[in-house]
Amino acid sequence: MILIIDYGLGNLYSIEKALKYAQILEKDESKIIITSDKNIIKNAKAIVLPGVGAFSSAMENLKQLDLIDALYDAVMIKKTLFLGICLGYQLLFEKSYEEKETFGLNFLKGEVKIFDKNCVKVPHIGWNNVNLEKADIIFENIKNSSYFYFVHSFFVNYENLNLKNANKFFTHYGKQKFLSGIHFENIFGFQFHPEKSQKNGITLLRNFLKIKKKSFTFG
Amino acid sequence: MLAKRIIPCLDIKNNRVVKGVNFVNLVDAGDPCEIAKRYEEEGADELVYLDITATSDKKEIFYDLIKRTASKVFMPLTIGGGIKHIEDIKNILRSGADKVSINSTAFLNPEIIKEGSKLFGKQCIVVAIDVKKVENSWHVFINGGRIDTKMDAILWAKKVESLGAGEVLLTSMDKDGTKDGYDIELINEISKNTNIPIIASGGAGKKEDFLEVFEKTSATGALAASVFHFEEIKIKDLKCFLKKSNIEVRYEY
Repeated sequence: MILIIDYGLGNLYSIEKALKYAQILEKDESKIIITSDKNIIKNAKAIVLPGVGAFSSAMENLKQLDLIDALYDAVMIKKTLFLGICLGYQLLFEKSYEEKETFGLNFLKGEVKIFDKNCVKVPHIGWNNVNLEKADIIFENIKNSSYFYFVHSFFVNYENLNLKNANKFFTHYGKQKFLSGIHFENIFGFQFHPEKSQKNGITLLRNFLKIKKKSFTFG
Repeated sequence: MLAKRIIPCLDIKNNRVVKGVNFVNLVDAGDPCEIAKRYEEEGADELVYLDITATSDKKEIFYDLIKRTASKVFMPLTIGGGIKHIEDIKNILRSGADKVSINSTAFLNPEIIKEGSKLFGKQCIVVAIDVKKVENSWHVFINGGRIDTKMDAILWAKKVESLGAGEVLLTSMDKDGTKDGYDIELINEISKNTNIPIIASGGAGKKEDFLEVFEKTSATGALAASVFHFEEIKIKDLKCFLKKSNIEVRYEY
């Protein structure tokens, strides 16, 4: 069962449809459940945390739905396969400086910052290249430096990023280089939207399903 | 590097794509979903549905169309036309669209920009601005270009940015329908005075017009309807042309 976490932010319909389309191509018959029920999380084979909007209201919603501990147990202890998209990716890190300093899920060490308005137009909207540090299973059949669709004002800072054994993905916006994705053990997180990135995005989701199918044991 | 976006726009009435000149003599030009799929295959970077259905009770069936599209086409989708309330934005986004484009309502009730960007994130709030030159200054027009608000377009663009708009869809009424090229001067003027992405609209007639708008302005996207619809320009050819002219475009599908 694939779980899409509904915490009141973001376009859940698109990610569900894109995953379903990828499932048809992969002949994957797992059920997709969209839920905010913390009790279901422990049974998931894979968890998707989507989301657009504000970091602080996202954390607030996760707290109110009592999802934080359940996510920690599933992702960090049980090592359930995890995919964070856009805000769902940013939430993985320690803290964000959006509006006010807000603590994130803290599964990964790192910080979320705003683009400098004096250098680039904010938000960063459109198709941009994603560069891999080294080859990654989630990018199977996707060329390095392929285009994906981004829409965000904040980014994960790659400086002071203390993540050994993580595979990193980078993107440049103007002169600003930022961490556009990460693969750390069972955790995948991307700033861009695979569900909106046409063929490349669908291929990425198919790879995610393949990883799920292989039932990797992580950690 | 961030690629320049090519954005086809579909005018939609009663859930069908319609074509005509200045919204008269409309002819049925097909199912939006099918055309969206075709544009996706040709390499469009984003898609805009502009709903010009006149009645106010159109919404439910229109949401179904958005849902149908979002389940078939995996690219960013913006919905414009007749958005009046926060509830409309919510329903449109929930149906699978990524952004809403608000025009007259944003002008008559600017709070919708503020509230919308606070609730859903500024990235999904596009403010469409229709501009026409009136005695040496650029005026904002609303109600499909029928009412001159007399508001200065530059001031209005700055205002919508400060209220939380994530993008401006800038249409030059002087250029719209002329196929004579985008309004470079207007786009530069708005772009210089704001710090959010600007999508240029109105005037596209040939491939060189797209090249000009990307070479001479900092517009991050260019929108067009009829040239794509009647296949006067094929998106694939256009992108190939732009790439050869050293414009950063997504060309790999």
